[in-house]
Amino acid sequence: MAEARKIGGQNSRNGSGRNNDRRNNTQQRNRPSTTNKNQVVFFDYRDERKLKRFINEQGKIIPRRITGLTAKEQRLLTQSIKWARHLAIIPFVSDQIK
Amino acid sequence: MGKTVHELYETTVVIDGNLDDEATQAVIEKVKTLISSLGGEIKNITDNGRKKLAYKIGKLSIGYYVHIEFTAPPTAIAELERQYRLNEQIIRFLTIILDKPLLDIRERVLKYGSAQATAVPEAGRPESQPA
Repeated sequence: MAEARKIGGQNSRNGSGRNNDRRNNTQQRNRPSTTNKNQVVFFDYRDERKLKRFINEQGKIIPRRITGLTAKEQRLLTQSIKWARHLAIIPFVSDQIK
Repeated sequence: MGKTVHELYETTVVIDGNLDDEATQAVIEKVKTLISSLGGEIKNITDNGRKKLAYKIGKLSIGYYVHIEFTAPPTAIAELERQYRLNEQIIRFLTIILDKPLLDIRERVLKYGSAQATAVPEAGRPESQPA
């Protein structure tokens, strides 16, 4: 990631072709395999089990680069997780860590 | 055109889980009458029953979860939440607007959710979370 960004920065002035190649590469590498277009993602702030997939053991929200959600979905997810935390459906910080 | 626009809301109430069933039902009934008295119209009620709280609230570790969908004029919400705060049996509450994206994703849950071995939670079932 860091390397790609550095090279991109150097090349940003001249030829954009290589830059694009590089960006495509990183995107391919980062995109999780689960993110097929026909794969349906869902979650519900009222159900713990439907949110468990999107938080790690600590209770942190998993970033979009891992979940593979669209920006819209991730925004809704973040909001849902925060609602669920408020309602004590999922923990702010997991018990194992405390 | 004095008619106010009613919006679709969902309110979640977490009731003290140590209350007996009768007292719990009384609280739910109270909330329902409150909503209607504020000009709201109840659409749907999801009673998820007692669940273990993910963390302690005060000294409580069990809560009774009720989700109520209703339409109401926006001005009713402030009063509704004020009444929630006055009620000591209600330990947590959340009122959200059910907008399009939220309803969309809920539809998806209904459509595909059962495929993932997570059935729609039944009322009153104790929450046993697999590790």
